Amino acid sequence: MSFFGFGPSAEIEILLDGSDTRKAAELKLEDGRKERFPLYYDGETVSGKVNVVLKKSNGKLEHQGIKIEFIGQIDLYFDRGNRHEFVSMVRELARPGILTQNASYNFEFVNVEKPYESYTGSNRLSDLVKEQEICVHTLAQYPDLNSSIKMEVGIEDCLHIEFEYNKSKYHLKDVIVGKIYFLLVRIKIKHMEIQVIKREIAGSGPNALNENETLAKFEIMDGAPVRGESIPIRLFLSGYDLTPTMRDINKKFSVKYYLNLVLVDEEERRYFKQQEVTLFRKADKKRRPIASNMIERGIFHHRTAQFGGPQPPPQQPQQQTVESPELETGSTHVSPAMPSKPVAAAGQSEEPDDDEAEADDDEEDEDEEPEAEDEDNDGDRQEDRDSKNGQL
Amino acid sequence: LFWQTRSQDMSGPVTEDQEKLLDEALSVVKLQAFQMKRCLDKAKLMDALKHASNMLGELRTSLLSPKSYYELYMLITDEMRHLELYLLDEFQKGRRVQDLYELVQYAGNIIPRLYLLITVGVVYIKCSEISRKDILKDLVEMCRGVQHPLRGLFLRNYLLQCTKNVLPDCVEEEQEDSGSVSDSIDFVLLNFSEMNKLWVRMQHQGHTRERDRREQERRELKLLVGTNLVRLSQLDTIDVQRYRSVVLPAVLEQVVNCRDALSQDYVMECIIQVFPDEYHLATLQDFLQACAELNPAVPVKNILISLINRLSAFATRDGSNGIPSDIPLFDFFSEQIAKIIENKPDLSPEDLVSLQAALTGLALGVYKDREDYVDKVLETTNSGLDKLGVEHINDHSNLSRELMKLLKLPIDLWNDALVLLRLRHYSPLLQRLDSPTKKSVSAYLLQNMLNNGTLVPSSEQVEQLLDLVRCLVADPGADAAAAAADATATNSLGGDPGDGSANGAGPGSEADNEDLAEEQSLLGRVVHLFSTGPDLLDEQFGVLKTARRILATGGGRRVKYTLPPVVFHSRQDSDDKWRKKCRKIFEFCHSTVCGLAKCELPNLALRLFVDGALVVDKIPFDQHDTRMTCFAAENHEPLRSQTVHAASKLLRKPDQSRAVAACAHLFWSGRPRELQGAEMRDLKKVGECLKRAGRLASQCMDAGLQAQLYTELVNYYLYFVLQSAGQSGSSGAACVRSVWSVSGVV
Repeated sequence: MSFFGFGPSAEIEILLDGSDTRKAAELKLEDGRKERFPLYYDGETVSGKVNVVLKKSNGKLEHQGIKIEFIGQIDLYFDRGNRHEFVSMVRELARPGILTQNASYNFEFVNVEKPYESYTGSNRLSDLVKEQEICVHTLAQYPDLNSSIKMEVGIEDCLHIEFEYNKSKYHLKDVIVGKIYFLLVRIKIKHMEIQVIKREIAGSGPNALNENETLAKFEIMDGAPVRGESIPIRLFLSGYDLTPTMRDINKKFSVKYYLNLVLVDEEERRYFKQQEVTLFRKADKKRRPIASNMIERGIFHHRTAQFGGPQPPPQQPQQQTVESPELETGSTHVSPAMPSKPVAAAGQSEEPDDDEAEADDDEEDEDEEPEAEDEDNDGDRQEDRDSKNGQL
Repeated sequence: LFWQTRSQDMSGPVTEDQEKLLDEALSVVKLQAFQMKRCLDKAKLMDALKHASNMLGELRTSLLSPKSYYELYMLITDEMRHLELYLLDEFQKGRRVQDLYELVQYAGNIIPRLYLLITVGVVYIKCSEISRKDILKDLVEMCRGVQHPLRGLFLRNYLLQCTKNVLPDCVEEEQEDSGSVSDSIDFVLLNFSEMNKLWVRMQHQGHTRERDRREQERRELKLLVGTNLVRLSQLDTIDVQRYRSVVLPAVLEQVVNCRDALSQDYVMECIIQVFPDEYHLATLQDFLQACAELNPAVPVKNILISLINRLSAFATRDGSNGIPSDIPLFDFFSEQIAKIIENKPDLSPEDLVSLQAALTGLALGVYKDREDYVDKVLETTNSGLDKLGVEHINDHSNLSRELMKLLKLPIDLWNDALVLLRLRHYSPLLQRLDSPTKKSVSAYLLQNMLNNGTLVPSSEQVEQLLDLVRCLVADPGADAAAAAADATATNSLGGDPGDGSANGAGPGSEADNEDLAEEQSLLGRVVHLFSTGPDLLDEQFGVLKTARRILATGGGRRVKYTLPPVVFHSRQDSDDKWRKKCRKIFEFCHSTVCGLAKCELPNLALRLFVDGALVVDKIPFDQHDTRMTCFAAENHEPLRSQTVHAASKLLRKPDQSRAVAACAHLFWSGRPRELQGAEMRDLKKVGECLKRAGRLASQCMDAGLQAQLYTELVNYYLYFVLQSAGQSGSSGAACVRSVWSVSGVV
């Protein structure tokens, strides 16, 4: 541009302090590529230096002031024209004037509040720092109240199971430990798997946009159990590409995670139960390099994962879902005796994820409200499914 | 495991399908294994794990029969060894791969995941025992995820194979962290009960019409389940105490609760075989208690028999201390068996008998001197059969076979028929058998007596013995009177007295007669065992008298074989000390032989008389006059003429000639009573005989032979001439004339 005598006659460079030692994190870009950006946490000071290098050694640059801004913004895919800024801070670096030589300015945003984590999803949401994008991770403390999820579900006279996940909130490198206990089995189950489903909700109210993605399919049982069997669950989350759960970020979008327990019978009918879990990011700890640590992580004794062990009574309300009348409603609708559509339509386990995710969509839309209101009541919610796939 | 059965089973298209499916799976495995090993060579562990996982994925199939699946499994586990060795090597060099135990659990499919987890877990244990206990516990728990019977059984078998040499085998105090034997016990017991459940579940899957095939398949897989028990038995730290308090109760609980006949049958048998005898002794009551609780379809008797046999063998083995005296082994089993019989009204008689046979074996093996035990068993058997309403026992039936086995046991183990005679319930049981089997047992007993030289020293015992083997002594079902009647009947029927077969009843065939001859010879030989010993001559005589009395009831066909030994035996003992009795003895012999003669067995009688005469000749016996009383004058004459007559009926002329010539002596040296012991020297008759012989010789076609006959004849003439020379001249002259006349012919 300088060829024409206007346009930037100087190059501007932002150097963040400690950029060579700072950790970097990967972010997906709009086109799907991944790039690494310096990683900042909430409340951390962002400081650095701005270098203005004049193109011509003895030229001069007249400016109306030099500012640096720290901006957090959300771009929604379906609403590209509008940017929603949730953070905006300005530091004045220089008064209007003329630069005759290269200049360098230090800046510092002290203890800047970065309320949201960087996130790129199907709905393309991102935090940007002008000119220099940074990545923000928000860390969460281990939640004080982290009760297990325990529930008895089933279809009357057909299948009754009790499942338990050891927590309701997991950090991103956590392990889900649990157990499925079969109380009644009158169907021939072929296998059982746990899926991790991510649901993005962009916008709100009636215009909210939902998108589901199955991130993990993890087989936890092969073959048909009989009454009284208990099947262990151990799912390492670090094997998957997960982000923290995000709730109503700046009233723009949410990201939620669900564990979906799916039982497939010999006729490829699928019985499932979805259960939301909260994911959060925990500060990295230096791992002890000795084996015993590994073992601690790798092994979870049944004793430690024992369900209903020293559980306090307040857990009981959840248990009441057992008696929930919806179970019966559910059973009439998912009864294998009345398939109204060809089984193959949605039943194949090999079907692409989207198919199933969409199927879920249909059903979830109707019930969006109650779920948003009260997560603890998830268990009570029983939805009708198309006849092949039964939600437990 | 399957090698023995490979050739059987599966037919036609199924086989082809199986082969094709198996081949496909095997080729995938080979390819993946090859790539896995190549990655290992290049130290690309993650890629190697990926290929290993692909390879293991083949084990997810539901299409293969157990046999094919086994082949696939074998190949795959073989390849997994490479991975294990590589990891061990790396770990021992200190290149421990971080979080490998966690890493392999990322695999999405459970089968490859668990196989990898086991492999890695064992590598961890082998490198450091610190977390051994935890890893073992974790592995066996995680395997619950595979609920498919076949895949689950093989997975758990892999677990068992891999952990073979790493199970903690020390008592609790020694190693707190790395686990103790109780951890191993928990581990194996859990694995065992899970495997057993899967194995039992196989039975209830699929179509009922395939039940037989499923059972067959299950049998092929039983070793997988049994390996758990083998592993337990290999843990040295499991002592009797631990076995009794922990191991056995758990195994029994599982096996009783599974209520599956096949499983119960196999596992119980397995327990008996894999654990030491001392343990069985210590836990007998528990084990027997469990036996009573098994599924009615389980052949409990096989289990008990197996256990009893094992303990019997143990008690008699060299170096063992025998059964501890505080364990009333016999009572245990006897009670238990009684309970089983009581609880199982549908128990077949043969099962009942074979149970009792095992018990007898125990009594005989462990308590050799407790005849009452054996008698008790026999009594129970007898009453048991009564209760079951068994009246007739067919030959060749299983029951007959079992009962025969039972009856032979005491014979074999005691080698003393006299003890048998003391048992009150042996004979009744024996008499239940059908005739051929009864005879064979009786013959077996007699043979045993002969082999052991069992002497029967008293008449009561002889009586008992002969009563015991009465099927051999007399015709079945016939008491003494009937037998006698029978004998008369056969007598009146007549027939050729020289041939016993003619005396046989209607259905008597050649084979029957051979059998009869064999049995009766045996009986005859046993008569020689009726011996009181040298000092008890009176008793000896009594014994023989008894023997004769009873044997005589056997009828014509039998006495032929049985009485002669009596005669011989009685003579055998006539040594110097017994002189006083000699007369009695000879009278005895005489009457016996007469009895034989009455039975139209004159040839035999004759031979016996002749033999008796020889004996009398040899011993200093002054009452010679009695010796020939057997031949009354009135029958002497016909006997002689009959002899001549018989002689001239011989087949060949030369034989006729010689025989008739020999008969001449009868008329010369015979001493009929009317001559007061003088030789009769009936020259006329002698001459007749010799003339007849000469005539017969002249009819002979062969000139050389004829000449020889004449020469012999001349010899006869010369003898009689010389003999008669000292007598009246007239007769001497006649003789000489005759001689010359014969010479003239020559």
